[in-house]
Amino acid sequence: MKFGKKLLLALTVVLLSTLLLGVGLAQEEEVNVWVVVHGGIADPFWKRVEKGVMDAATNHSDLEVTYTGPSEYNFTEFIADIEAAVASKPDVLVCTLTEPDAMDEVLRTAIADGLPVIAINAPDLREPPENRIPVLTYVGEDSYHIGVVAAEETLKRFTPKRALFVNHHPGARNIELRGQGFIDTLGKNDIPAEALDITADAVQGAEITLAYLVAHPDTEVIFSTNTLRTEAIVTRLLDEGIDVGNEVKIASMDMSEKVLEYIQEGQVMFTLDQQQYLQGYLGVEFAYLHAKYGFTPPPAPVSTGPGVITAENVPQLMELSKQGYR
Amino acid sequence: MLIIQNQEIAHHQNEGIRSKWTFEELRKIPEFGALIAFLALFIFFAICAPRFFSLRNITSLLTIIAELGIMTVGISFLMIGGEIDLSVSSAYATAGFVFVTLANIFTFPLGSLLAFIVALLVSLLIGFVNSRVVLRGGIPSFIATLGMMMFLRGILLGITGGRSISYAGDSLVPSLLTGIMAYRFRPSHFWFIAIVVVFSFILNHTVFGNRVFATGGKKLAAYTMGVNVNQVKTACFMISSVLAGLSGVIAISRFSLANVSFGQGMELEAIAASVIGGTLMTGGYGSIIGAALGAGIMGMVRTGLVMAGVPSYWYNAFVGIILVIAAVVNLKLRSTILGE
Repeated sequence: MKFGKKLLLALTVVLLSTLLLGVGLAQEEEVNVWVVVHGGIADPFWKRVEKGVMDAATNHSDLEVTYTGPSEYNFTEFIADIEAAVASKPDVLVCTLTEPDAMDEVLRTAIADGLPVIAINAPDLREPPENRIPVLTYVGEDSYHIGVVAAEETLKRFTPKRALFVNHHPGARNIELRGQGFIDTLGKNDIPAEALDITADAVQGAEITLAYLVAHPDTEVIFSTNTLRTEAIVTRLLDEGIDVGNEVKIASMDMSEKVLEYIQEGQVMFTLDQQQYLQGYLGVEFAYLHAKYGFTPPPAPVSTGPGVITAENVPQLMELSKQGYR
Repeated sequence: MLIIQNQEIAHHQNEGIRSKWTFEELRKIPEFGALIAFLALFIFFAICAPRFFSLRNITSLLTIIAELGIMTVGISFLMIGGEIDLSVSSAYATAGFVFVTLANIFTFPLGSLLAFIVALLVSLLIGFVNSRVVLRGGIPSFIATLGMMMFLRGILLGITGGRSISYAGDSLVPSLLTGIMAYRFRPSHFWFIAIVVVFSFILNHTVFGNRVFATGGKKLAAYTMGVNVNQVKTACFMISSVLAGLSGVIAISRFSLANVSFGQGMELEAIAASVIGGTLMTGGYGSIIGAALGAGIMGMVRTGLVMAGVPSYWYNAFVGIILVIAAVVNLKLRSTILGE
């Protein structure tokens, strides 16, 4: 190679190395918080969490928040995002503990290396408590209790012959626990209830639910814990000519504009609000206050629900749901 | 002795006449396009994404790349042989499920090793069944393996009900495959490199590899010249499935957990990685090292985008663009080498 070309190559290498070094050195004095959720972050539920996260981020001028997760639920991608977050060396990591067994090693090592972690939305509920991932705190629902409340609210209204819990996230422990709380409480009242895997696909899930109803026509209540799935199921059943709200009653969780409409019109009895906006908002606020001033957040669980939303609450909540808060 | 024109011979034709390092010569290396893309993206992310160029991140990337890469090597082998396998993601999940279930049952010493061997045998069986359906049934491999993919997923879902199965076996196989070493390196990184070296050697320097190129490139000509095309393809299907199964066991060992949803969609990522690495879907042309680089690119893009602060909604769009560009570039390079 001619000398000129060699010189050019050498200069390019030097320039690139300097750039790389420069980027590393140019660190501002700001608090860096990473929020990684299992998502999918395109799901309307997680958009509320994202809004909470972003609203908290605007509270402090020296707070830099990165919010990420797979656009559709994919556990391997979620873990890759967690690894990327840990490698980015933030001041605090806020994340969902979707599968504590699988996440134990990576988070425990990061925590031991000095990274504070705040759990939101999905906690580590393994027994005994000493085995759980040593997070600073957990902000979110008490999953089993939500199922219990769903059953109790149903029983306040009527006594179903048979009940169904639809699981849109088989494998997610917190969702399984909601179903367990629901099924156990109804079981204490001698009402047969079971859990049904309706897959992560909302459209397919609606078909599967319909098929179950056809096979078990004495099913009088369906408990769904995701707004997208509730919407898909109600639409599908109405299409099929089923008198939703009378023949089959729906208990739901979380809120969306459509679900609130259904409550007003009587197709859905009530919805349980885990106030996921607060999970994002408080998660980030606690993280900032801890990183900046060393404050220890309140101990786990910082429960963000459930509120029971019925037709009376709806008018006020409709507006807030449109804005993406609830 | 069967002599088939392949890109190795084309490459060597000009040796000794010109220097190996001119752009003209470099362009003829099948992995050239993928290598340039890999380096360009690496430098891009190292500049734009804070801490991308850190040891912690490099080792995390290697973990992802190793798992995708092992599956990609297998599927590339098959694609070069002229077929496709969409069931690799299901073989991945099935092998993982078989491994965890058996390791939990085999409580005797070396139980996990036996479970591992059985899981790989099951993967080989999946590949064998695929080959029978395609070669005896006359069904295009796209359809046959699509059916196998759905069938296996369905079986796993039916058995597990979607619930995760925790690993409770001994630590022998998990630590051999994916135990954390110094600086968070893992054995899987080295297994991946070894597999790339071995399969690249088999493809480019053995009679069998020659036959794979021939079978994928011009099947009729190969058959006429005495290559047992069916045997070659059967072997390729089994290689594809067993490497996918190995990848699955590695991933499951890392998570200590098996869930039917693991690996879903990964078959498309592996195919994309393979194409980006220079393998053509029409068969007869490709590179294992290119496949490894393709997996490297796929692994890097997602993490790089996340660390650069790009919302992950854009990931698939980015990968789609890279895939099409890579396919066009590799097609042009292929024309140069084969003089078409």
